[in-house]
Amino acid sequence: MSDTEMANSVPTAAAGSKTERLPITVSKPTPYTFDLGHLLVNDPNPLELPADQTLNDSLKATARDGVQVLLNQLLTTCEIKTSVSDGVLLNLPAPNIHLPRHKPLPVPKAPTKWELFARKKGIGKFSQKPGAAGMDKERRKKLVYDEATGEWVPRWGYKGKNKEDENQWLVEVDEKKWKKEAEANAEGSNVRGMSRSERKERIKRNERKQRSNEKRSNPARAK
Amino acid sequence: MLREVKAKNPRTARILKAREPQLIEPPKKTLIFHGAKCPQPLDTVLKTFHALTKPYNVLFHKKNENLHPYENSESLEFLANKNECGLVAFGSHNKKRPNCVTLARIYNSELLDLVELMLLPPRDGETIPPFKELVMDVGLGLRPMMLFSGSPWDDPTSTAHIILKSALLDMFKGEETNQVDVEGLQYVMMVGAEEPQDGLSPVIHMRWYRVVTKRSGHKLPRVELQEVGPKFDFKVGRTRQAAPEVQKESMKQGKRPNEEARTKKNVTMDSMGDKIGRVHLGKQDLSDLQTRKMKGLKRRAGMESSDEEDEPSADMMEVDEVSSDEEMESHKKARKN
Repeated sequence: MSDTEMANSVPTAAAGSKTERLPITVSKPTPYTFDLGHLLVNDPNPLELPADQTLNDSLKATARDGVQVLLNQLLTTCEIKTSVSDGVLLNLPAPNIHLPRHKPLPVPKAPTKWELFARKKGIGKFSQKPGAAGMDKERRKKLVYDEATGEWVPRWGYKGKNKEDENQWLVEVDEKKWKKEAEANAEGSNVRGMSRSERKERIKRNERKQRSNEKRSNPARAK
Repeated sequence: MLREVKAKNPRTARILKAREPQLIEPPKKTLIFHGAKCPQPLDTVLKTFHALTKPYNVLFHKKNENLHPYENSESLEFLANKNECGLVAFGSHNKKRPNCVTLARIYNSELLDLVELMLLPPRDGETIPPFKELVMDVGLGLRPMMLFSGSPWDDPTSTAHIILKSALLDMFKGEETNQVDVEGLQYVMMVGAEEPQDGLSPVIHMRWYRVVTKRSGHKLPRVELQEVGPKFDFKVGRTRQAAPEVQKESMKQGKRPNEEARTKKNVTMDSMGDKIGRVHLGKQDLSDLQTRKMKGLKRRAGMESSDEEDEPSADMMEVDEVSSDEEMESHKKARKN
């Protein structure tokens, strides 16, 4: 700290000049330590509480020295950013003192049974084929392009694209559906409602899977 | 333990999600409340803590009977968890421990560590004024500068000081930011620890000052301080440290996203700040290495110029092949021998 010595000698030398220079450096037997990320300074020197001074005055003197050193350190070592809108900002380093957390670290979500299977087989987002993962991501997006109207419509939900088949005036019954139609007719329902009921079935199935996944990953919570 | 709540609508789902453990935690909230009795000096302490931890705190005004953090931590934990608080400042007053503030920290909805601070009467014949009469114009959310003064803070054997420093820092640090406005460096909290004396409990002094900078004639300003707010002298009472394994668990920090850009492989910085790259070359092909040319090894002395003109490439190829074959054979022979 050659700077310190120089600055210390300045006030006496320049006392006669036009402006009196106030000392801005502090010298103590044990050096200060800093944690600039927390704007914190440690003064490891024993507190000096002389009997002829009141407690408050001696504490204030110690505090002044500490704050002076902290400000010197902040203004010399931290990068200063000046802008018209934000004023003068100091870039602080990361804090050194680690404090205990309030809650434990979050645990990553357990993979679902499908995800385990897909990883094993390399399906969807686990696929090794170039572009396959991106395709899977695209497939799960909320909006989908409707070729007929040239608009982006929701894939599911209100006015969703998955309900398109449900209110068509004409329903195709191909060879595969003959048997199903016969069954539906026997039960008294119609081939027209089949698309909707199938969708409802799928939703229920998905909910079942969700529950079983929840139970598998966290047996205590799922009740 | 609080019972497990299941969200019934999206709003509560969002609230519950915000309560789940997070990788980067917001500042801990402090729960401030008092026991059956709360005399005026103790009230000033609690109100000051409340004013300085805004907006990250919850203040209770009503008294709470039968709360003894050292004997039974259940209700303390319950109140802290119910209010999402990681820190508790509990004021109590009784004959044995008058004007006592208990600082507690919570980890994983259980008590982590405890430290007790007993307010001492001011030394110079002053009194601690009621909070209303104090002037402490500290802006909301200002980060204070902190000064921990005295040798006991660095003493690794003094558990009281270790817990106290950590707890006070945790309580008053405010929101951690990587930038700070120079205008915002307005006030400083000083915590001074007196030299330990045998048989006496350690004493700490808490003071707050406003920072006034003056032109010094140097590049850096000269700092002067103004006393603001109350002046507290505390005697440190009972402490309870966290169990080592819980402490270790609570100090775990996850890997933060974008905290450190993923280091490029084989690019390092040396002590001088120069960039050093390490390049891995493949295995060098030594088969077509040009060795030293000697006159005696030339194929056809005298005739080579005319021959090469006639059929240069084919001839050379043949010769090469022959020579390599011969080499191989000679190697094999050498191995057999």
